[in-house]
Amino acid sequence: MRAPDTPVIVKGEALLAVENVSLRFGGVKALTDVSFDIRKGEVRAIIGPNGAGKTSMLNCINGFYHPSEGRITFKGETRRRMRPFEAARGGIGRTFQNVALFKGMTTLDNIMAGRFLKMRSGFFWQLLRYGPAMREEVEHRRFVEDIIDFLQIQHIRKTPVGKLPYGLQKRVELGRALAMEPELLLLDEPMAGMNLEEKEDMSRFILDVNQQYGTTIALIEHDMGVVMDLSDRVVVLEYGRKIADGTPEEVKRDQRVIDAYLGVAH
Amino acid sequence: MPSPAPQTVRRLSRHGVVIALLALILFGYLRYDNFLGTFNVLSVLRYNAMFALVSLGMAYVIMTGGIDLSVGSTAALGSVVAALLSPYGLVPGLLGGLAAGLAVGAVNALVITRLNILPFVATLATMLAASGCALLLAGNQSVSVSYETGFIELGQGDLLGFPVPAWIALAAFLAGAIALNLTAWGRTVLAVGGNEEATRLMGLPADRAKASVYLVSGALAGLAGVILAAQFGAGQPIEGVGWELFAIAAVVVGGTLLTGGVGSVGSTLAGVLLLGLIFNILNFENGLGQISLSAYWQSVVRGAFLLLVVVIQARLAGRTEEPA
Repeated sequence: MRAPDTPVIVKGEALLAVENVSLRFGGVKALTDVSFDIRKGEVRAIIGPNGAGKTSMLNCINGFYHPSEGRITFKGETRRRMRPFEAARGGIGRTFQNVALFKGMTTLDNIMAGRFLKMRSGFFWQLLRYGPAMREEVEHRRFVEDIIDFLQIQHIRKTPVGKLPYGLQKRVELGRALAMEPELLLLDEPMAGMNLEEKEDMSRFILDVNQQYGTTIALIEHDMGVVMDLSDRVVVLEYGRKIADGTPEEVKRDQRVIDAYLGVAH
Repeated sequence: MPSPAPQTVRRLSRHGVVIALLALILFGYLRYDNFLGTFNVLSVLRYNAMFALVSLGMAYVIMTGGIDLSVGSTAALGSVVAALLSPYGLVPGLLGGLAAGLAVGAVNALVITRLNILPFVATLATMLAASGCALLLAGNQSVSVSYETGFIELGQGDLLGFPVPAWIALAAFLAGAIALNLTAWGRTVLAVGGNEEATRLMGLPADRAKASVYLVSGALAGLAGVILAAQFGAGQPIEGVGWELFAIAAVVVGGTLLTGGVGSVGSTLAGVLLLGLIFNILNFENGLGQISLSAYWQSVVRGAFLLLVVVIQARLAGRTEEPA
């Protein structure tokens, strides 16, 4: 974990900007006029009590929901209505609150699935296992094996993920998202339901991803301690509105955050 | 973490169908003369090749979490079209049957992926429609094939001492296994069956994968129809009834989950052979003359055996699964 006095990574310009985003489902307001940005190379946390609109926010960013108002700019490009596969192709990777792996497939195949979008050779060349298709396959396989080493899941390479304990499934899901080489990685409660040891492991992996792969990370988390240690900057949502935005220290001192969140025992 | 199940049990569950198949072969070998004789083995392979093709297509469909009820009447339609075109030669007959199957598959694919109709309902409709088309084209009777153009070689011929239909099925299964295990397409098929939502969100072509399995299933059913016509010398508009159930049974016995996301091409072939051999063994049993089972009783015995294999398999698989 990063000690408080470690210098923060040099942050680049904004990779993603959320401007005045509102999201309504019928009469229910999930998000109201939320604005913030995510800078290149940082770990950005979105926190808030249950029902604050955190997952809705992520869903807007990767195009799963379309904001009723406002706009989202990714890599300088503002899209009125982006769809999830466009987000994926554009470089936004994602994990889910409830693990969304392919349960019958092995760890290796699940992570390999993250590479399919990058494969260029056609079906028939892959079928013949010849020439460029074969070279490409070997390259992707090597990339995947690197991720497996990185996440220390060599021992479960060939295990169907449905048979793995929850903590490991979360790790495999992170691996699958990494395989897509995202520029922006969205993690929806990466540590939900984990024990302390698993949480520490996962925190370490998230920091390593950020530093080694240079991936910009936006994460939603419930566990306050974890968030404060991990993130460069934190956005706090409550009832769909932004109530605070800043470094972990600033946010921790903010009276509205304390009232809304920290004061409540969890 | 659950304690890892004994390796042997895990292996048994994966290869349960193969073990059942070997046990059945051993039983037949010990009990009947000529069971493993060249004639019997080659006849079983020749006759079951069409079921194998239909089951392969069905396996892909089921792996995506779908179902294709139209394969039986698609095969019937394929056999009629092939028979009608057989006077023009082997190739027109073959391509005609394939095209008929592809056409039905294309309708299935469009209705399921574009109109979002459940596969069960969509393919039930095309099953009726394809059957009607077959009867219309054939004028409500079987259409004899031409014996002059070499078309019948596709069903009755041999190549290097091995039946042509069995060669075709073997090639299809080889290509099918590689396609499933070693191409992005195959993995996407399994991914769609495992978690369609996640597949879409990852930007993978979920609809294309789903559409493709119905096209493949249709084409293979059409090909099975070509072999049917060539083997029995006639296009059969009323054949194919219940083929879809045979195929589903073979796929399920092979360990592919009906819910999708898990499956194997090799085990599907073992499932086809298992079902085919039960039939073969019952014939031998009748031949011994000690008991005489009518066709109806044969169905009962087949069903009971099938149930037995599935139950044993579920038990074995359950023991390796962690309690949810």
